[in-house]
Amino acid sequence: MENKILNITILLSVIIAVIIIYFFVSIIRYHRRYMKLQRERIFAEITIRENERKRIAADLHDSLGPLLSAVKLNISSVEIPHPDDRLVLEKTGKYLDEIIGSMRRISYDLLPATLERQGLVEAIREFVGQVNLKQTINIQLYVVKDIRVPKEKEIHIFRMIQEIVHNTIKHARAKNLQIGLSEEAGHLLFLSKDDGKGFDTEKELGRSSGLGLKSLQSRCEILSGILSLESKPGTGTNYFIKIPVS
Amino acid sequence: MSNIIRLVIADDHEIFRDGLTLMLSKQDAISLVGQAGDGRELIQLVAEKKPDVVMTDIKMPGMDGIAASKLLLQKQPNLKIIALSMFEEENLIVEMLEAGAKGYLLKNADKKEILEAIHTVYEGNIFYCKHTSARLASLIVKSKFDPQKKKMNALFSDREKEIVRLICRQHTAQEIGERLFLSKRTVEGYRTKILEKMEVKNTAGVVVFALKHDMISEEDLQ
Repeated sequence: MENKILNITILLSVIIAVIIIYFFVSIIRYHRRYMKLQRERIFAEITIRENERKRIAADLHDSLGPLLSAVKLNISSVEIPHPDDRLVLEKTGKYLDEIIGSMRRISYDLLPATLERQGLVEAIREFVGQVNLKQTINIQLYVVKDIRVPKEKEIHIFRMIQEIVHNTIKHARAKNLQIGLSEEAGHLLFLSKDDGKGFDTEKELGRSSGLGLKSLQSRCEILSGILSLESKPGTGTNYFIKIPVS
Repeated sequence: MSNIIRLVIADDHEIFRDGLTLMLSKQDAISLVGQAGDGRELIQLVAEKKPDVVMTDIKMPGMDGIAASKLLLQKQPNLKIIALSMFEEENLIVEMLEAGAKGYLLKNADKKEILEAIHTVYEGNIFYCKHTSARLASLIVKSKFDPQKKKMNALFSDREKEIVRLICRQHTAQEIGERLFLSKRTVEGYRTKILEKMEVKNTAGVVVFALKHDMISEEDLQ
């Protein structure tokens, strides 16, 4: 009799244990699947956004640009005897130049043409050159080696570097930023170091909209890369990124 | 006026070609002998019409301006080609110059500049668009594009070199005058002389020349 009770107890315990284990395994599986779907969703979102940007940039460049230039040519073809009237048309021509100038900036922000044509390193060089010209920060870029990156990864890496530079200007208020790029054993290596005010990394990563760090992390995950950053309030910030590119 | 310049234009946007045609139709010294919508058409047209000057867009569907220029210049090394660029696409402009173009223009250039470009290349000189940025100037100097042989630096007096540096930093004649205690008119006189010696037409030409001849460094431009 006692034996029977013992057997039933053991049997019941085993059944309960199996149910609990099955339950946990399901949760873990579900969680993994959820994470995977989440990653895919983010990837799809970012890809859609980049494609959309590309399309708008191309439209600005290929449709509106020539149209405005044609308008300007037409205006300058009109012969006007009265000097005051001529002045009005000259002014209108200047306005058109301004419109074309803003379109160029918008188009560049959407997608730099250099990235499409000349690749990542050239686009970064151009970007750094422009920042140095317009902002008070001094960026030094060291490209150690000729780097080859698959076309579909370039835009993400470019955006990550843009984000880091913008963070450094906007939040770190650094005077100097050094960026190193290299390629080793099929991986792109990115290293940056600034002399800005630094920040509490734990706290910022916890915040939902902190510093655009989330977007950096998402892009890095998409590329199956590693992102690490070192920073403390009062000291500068170092970023290190490693992304497989072969 | 000497001969009438025979011109062909190529651009994939008809509206832009129409604008150019309208503007050029009022010029007695220039005769527009044909229009092409892409590189292939351009090559055919040049073979047919034998123009003196070609003005071509860089980005065109099918064969672009760069590929077309290379082919055209193989057959007719003396053809003068001007590149047209929508925005200042520095790398593309450099590729066009390396392919053998003799000048470039932004598409929002005004009438005066377009005509100046056509006449300049027709006379065998190089035309740099007046909107040339510091970055483009230094890219051009570093590129394989090498139109002028290096001229001796010693041709310029110290005063002229000082003025060249200030012109490259985009100072106006007025500002240069104030700095060097000269009248605006004197500075303009110097400027004209400098442009003549360098055989260039505008500030962009001065910047490229000065960079090439080490009269200024890239840091001077920032």
